[in-house]
Order: sequence, then C-alpha cells, then structure tokens
Amino acid sequence: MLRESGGKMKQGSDESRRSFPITQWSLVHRAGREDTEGKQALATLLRNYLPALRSHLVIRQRIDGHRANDLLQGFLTAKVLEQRLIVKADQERGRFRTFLLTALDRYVIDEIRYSRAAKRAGQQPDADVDELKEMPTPLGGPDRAFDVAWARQVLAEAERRMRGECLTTGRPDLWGVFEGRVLRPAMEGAEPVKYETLIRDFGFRSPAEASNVMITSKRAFARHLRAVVGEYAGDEAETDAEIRDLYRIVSGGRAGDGN
Amino acid sequence: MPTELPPDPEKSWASLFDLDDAERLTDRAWPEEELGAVMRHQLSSPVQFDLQALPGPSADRLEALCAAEGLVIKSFNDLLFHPHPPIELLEMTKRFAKATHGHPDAIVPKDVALLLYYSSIMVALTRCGKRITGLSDHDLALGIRWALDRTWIDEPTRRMLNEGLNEITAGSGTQGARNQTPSAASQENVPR
Repeated sequence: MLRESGGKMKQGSDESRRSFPITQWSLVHRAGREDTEGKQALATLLRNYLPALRSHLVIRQRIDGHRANDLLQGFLTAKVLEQRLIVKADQERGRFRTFLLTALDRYVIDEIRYSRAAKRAGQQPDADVDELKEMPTPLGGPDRAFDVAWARQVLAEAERRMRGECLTTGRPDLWGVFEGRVLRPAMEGAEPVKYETLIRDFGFRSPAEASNVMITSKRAFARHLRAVVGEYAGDEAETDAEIRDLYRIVSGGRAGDGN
Repeated sequence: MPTELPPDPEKSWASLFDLDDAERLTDRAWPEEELGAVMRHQLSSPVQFDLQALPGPSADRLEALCAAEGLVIKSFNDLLFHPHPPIELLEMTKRFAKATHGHPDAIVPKDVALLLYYSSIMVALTRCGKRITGLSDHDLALGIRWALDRTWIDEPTRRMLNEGLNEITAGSGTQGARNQTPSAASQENVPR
C-alpha cells in the first residue's frame, strides 16, 4: 500500500511546516534538486529521519552509539550525498521511510562485507559491524526500532503543536491537564497529577468542568496527531491506516499487521 | 524522552494513538482511588454552575432557589445538608445527576453521579417528606446500599444515606411515595 503518495499537502502554519518531519513527496522531490532550496529540503529530510535511522542501528542492530553515528555519517556521505539517493526514491513503490531504511540496511550489509574482506586480508576487523548478522532482534522485527522511533517523532510533533496551540490560545488548563494526566504518564511512566492538584492549579469549578477539559484535551491531541500524520500519509483513509499502523507498532505488533 | 519502549506499551505509548476512541476518551479518566476527591469536589461545587446546564430553570430562578430560607445555598453540600432544602433544587440535582450519569462522554464519573442521584432522593425524602423518584422502596434501598458500599464517600454523606435507609427499611417513607405504582417506578429509568 502506498503511504506517502498522492496526498495533497494540508494547510498548516508555516511554523508547523518548517518544523515537522514533513515527508510529503513534494519535499522529497525538492530534496533531489541541487539548488539552494533542494539543499534545504534535503537538510530537513535528514534532520527528521536521522533519529529514527539511528534508533534502528542502535536498538535493532545493537551497534554502539559511536559506531552507529559513524555508519550514519558514512551512509549520508556515500549514499545520500555522493550517489544522490533521494533522487531514486519512487513514490509508486511505497513509503519513503521504508525506502530510506532499506537503503541504510544495504549500506550496512556492504560495510559488513567490506569488514569481513578486511578481516580475511588480515586487517583489524570491525567487531560491531562484523557481528551484525548474528544479532537478535530485540524489538521483534527488522524495521521495528525504526518505526518505533518514527512513532515517537510523530508523537513529539503532535505534542509540540498542541502545547503551542494551548499556550497561544490562552488554554494552559488544556495543556496542563493533558500533560499531567495523559502525556507524562504515557511517555515517561510518571504518576498522574492528582485530581486535587489539578482543580487547585486550574480552578475547576466542578468535576464536570474538569472532565470536560480532560476530554477536550484528549480530542485536541488526537486532532493534532491526525494532522501530523495526514501531512505525510495522504488522504483520510491513508491517515487512518497509518495511525492504526503506528498504534500496532507501539503496541508491540508490526506495521501492516492486521487489517 | 525515551526511545526505548516502556515495559507495557499497551498502557502507555499506544494509548496516545487511540485517544479519540470513544471508550478510551472517557474510560478511567478519574480512577477509583480518586473518586473520593471527585466526590468532595462535586459536593463543594457551586450548585448554580452545574444546574444552569439543565434545560428549564432560568438563572434568576436558580438564584432565587439558592437563596431559600434566607440561607444562601452555594454548593451541593449546602443543599444536601440544608435543614429545609428547596425541593425544586433537589429535583434539579437529581436530573443533573441522571443526565451526567447517562452522558455519552461520562462528564462526571458514573459512580459519583449515581451517588449524587441517590443523595438528592434521600434528602428530599427525609428532610422534605417528598419522594422525587418513582423507584420502589426496595429498589431505592438497593441503590442506597450500593452507595454505602463505596469506600470513598465522606462521613456526613454516609450518615445521611444511613438515616435515609433506616427510614425506608423501617417503613417510614412518605405515604404518597409508598403508593407509587410499579408502572411509575419503572418509568424512572434509574441509572445503574
């Protein structure tokens, strides 16, 4: 199923478009150009995807952080910049992030082969890379760490947008309740802020008011999350499918499992 | 923030991708251990603030009712422990509790709404001598016993419910109330 194809870019603030991992194919296409705008687009793409790629190497492949950085640097230099990898991304062939991950994996395999050849030739082997093939898959799948990191990034962006909106529209209560009762407990395992603390901090006049704020804040986050996903997933159906996929990934399933 | 998944992602990260789900939206908004705090907040809430959401009473009417007997009723606590509470306000409170109990977004935790519901009925019965429910004594007693089983209700409310229960079980409910027909009671559609 195509995930990042065809969707019209949704209207959002310039700020949000600048800052989020905008992965629309229009950006990918721009990143393939060699002019200034192309370089800026490429920088945006890389900035947004590098954390997920690094997570893939560190969590899935269990490569230590320094080595992962080296591999990523090599990948960027050899594949992305010198061989202009982005130009080869094909909208008709699936998700951009899958394309990028596949390219990284191929690069790493090449590095393994190179390392083994060096070992046979009597040079010092690179243990990290040399052992890649035998590494277990701690998170269940070849690209799970990558997808988890991606899910994390989507959440972070939805969080950033919601916080910004709440603060600029004079609704710190919405943000405070959501952050204290939902977000931090979910992301960090923090104890939810106590009900009594919330009503003291925000002056809710009744449980109905407090509950309304809670429900409104959840809906607001869901709306922002949907907007973030919608910017790269495409139409409504694709957005629904992507959110279901992210839910499955984070729940322990694999992208594309189930319906 | 961490990149590793927490031990039980189903209860953590995953929930953030599913917040708009109707059940998740309201489910466990305030967990059992906080219902006492929610109930205390409910009882201390301004009557006029919550009841103004009901269809019917005007703001002026509410204000007049809250000034009953020269003793200004500000909170539900004031109402439920008023020596002569206005029956109309108790009926409104019952309607409010019933409406919030049945609200699709469960604005107030259902158990808290139900406790307010039975409290308003009991106060009307014991202090005004009026039955504002179509429930039979048997069903009412069941409801009060359910309420008394909640560990998080405060002592004054517990005492008030116990007094009401004693009246019902001793057969001292108002005569008019005792003559409620089963059909009228069945129309009550009690929240459970």
